[in-house]
Amino acid sequence: MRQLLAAFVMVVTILFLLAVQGCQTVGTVAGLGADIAAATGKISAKEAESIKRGAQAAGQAFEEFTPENEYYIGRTIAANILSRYKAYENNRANYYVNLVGQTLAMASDKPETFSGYHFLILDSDEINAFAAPGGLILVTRGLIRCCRDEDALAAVLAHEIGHVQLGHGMGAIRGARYTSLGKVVGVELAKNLGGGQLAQVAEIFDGTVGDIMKQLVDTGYQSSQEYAADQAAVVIMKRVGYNPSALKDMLEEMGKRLGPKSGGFGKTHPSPANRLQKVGSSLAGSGPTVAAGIRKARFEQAMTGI
Amino acid sequence: MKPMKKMTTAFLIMAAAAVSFATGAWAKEMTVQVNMTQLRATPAYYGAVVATVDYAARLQILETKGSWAKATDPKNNKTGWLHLSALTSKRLTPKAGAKSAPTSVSTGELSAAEKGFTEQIEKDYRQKNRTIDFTWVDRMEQININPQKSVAFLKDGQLIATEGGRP
Repeated sequence: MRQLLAAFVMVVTILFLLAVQGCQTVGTVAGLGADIAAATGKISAKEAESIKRGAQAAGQAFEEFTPENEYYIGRTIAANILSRYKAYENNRANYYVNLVGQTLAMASDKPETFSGYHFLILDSDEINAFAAPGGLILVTRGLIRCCRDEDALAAVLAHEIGHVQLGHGMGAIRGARYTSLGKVVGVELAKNLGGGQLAQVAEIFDGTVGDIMKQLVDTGYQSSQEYAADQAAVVIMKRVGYNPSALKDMLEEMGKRLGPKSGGFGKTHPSPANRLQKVGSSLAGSGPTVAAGIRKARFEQAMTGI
Repeated sequence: MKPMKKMTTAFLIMAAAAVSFATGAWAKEMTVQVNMTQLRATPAYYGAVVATVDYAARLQILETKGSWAKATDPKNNKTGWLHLSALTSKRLTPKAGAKSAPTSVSTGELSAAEKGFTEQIEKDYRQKNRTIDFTWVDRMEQININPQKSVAFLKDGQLIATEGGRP
């Protein structure tokens, strides 16, 4: 009898564990939106608090930006950058960068954004790159010149995809924007915003764009965010089969080329040496992969004149 | 009822509850949160396209595998796989002019976030900031690499077609 009881308890325990496990899986799916928001660092705990306060004030929370919101923020950010830098009008080169970049994005942790990942070369000697929220990625000719082959270009693009995937751009938005937006849009859920509301939301949009531009152009991401983007780049490169040590080659070349007059990049990024030190351990064991020669040849063909 | 029988009954009830809890809850709905994406025959971007789904479509989630979900679109009963980063558990409002009929959700259930930054706000921004030029933003968005092109590109470079990362 005692044995039977023990067996019964065991079976019930197993079933209970199964049920709990099932529940966790379901919960993972159910909480996905929130998980992504948290995982991508869209909001910090402090910002979440602000949102709560805003929600109390307005009666309706403005919890987080949807991928569509992110898309419109990203478009405006990209337009602002393209007002400071000229586009590099070379269809072949831009197509090739998209071929490498969009292929990498599909292997990232966030392959789906509202309107996909798109890449464009900026006609500038400055060594720089910008990842606008939603996946609009701009890379200067100067930065591409730090790449000696396709694997190195993949390292640059995968790093920028890493910033998008980790929500670093959106993370620059001040908590107060969420609170203000909650107050405006939370109270009235009409299909379109009325005149007064439109003006208020437009003002918050200006502030939001300003927050992100400030980070992209003036202050830069936090060093920890740059290192995280490097780590993400290594993961993405490994998934697709690029040689992750190309990131090292690229950073070394960048270190050589970044002089004291290197423009905004030197100011907004940790030094290539520091990045190398941080990412170094995850590159251990990676060496030249097969067909690097084939990839180098098509890189050189597409990038003639860069 | 003898203790033994009682225990068997209790066991059966608990077993039934556990099984239904673990499996039944899969009949779950999620919403497409990207402009447009595809349901595919296999959990990979390189899988054949079964159907296209638009923003705000509500899908029945049948199972998940890694970072992919197998889903049915009740509108046409097509079933296929899509990446979890295309989905949200929230309800969203279909775009004006979308083929799908508006969902029957009451406005109270709609996410306030949908009212945030939209096409309307961009239009307003562009009117006020005439020097900010969106021409190249529109142009770069037109550069789309078909997954089949990616496959050929990967193959030529002796690279690997992976199934997409984890959310």
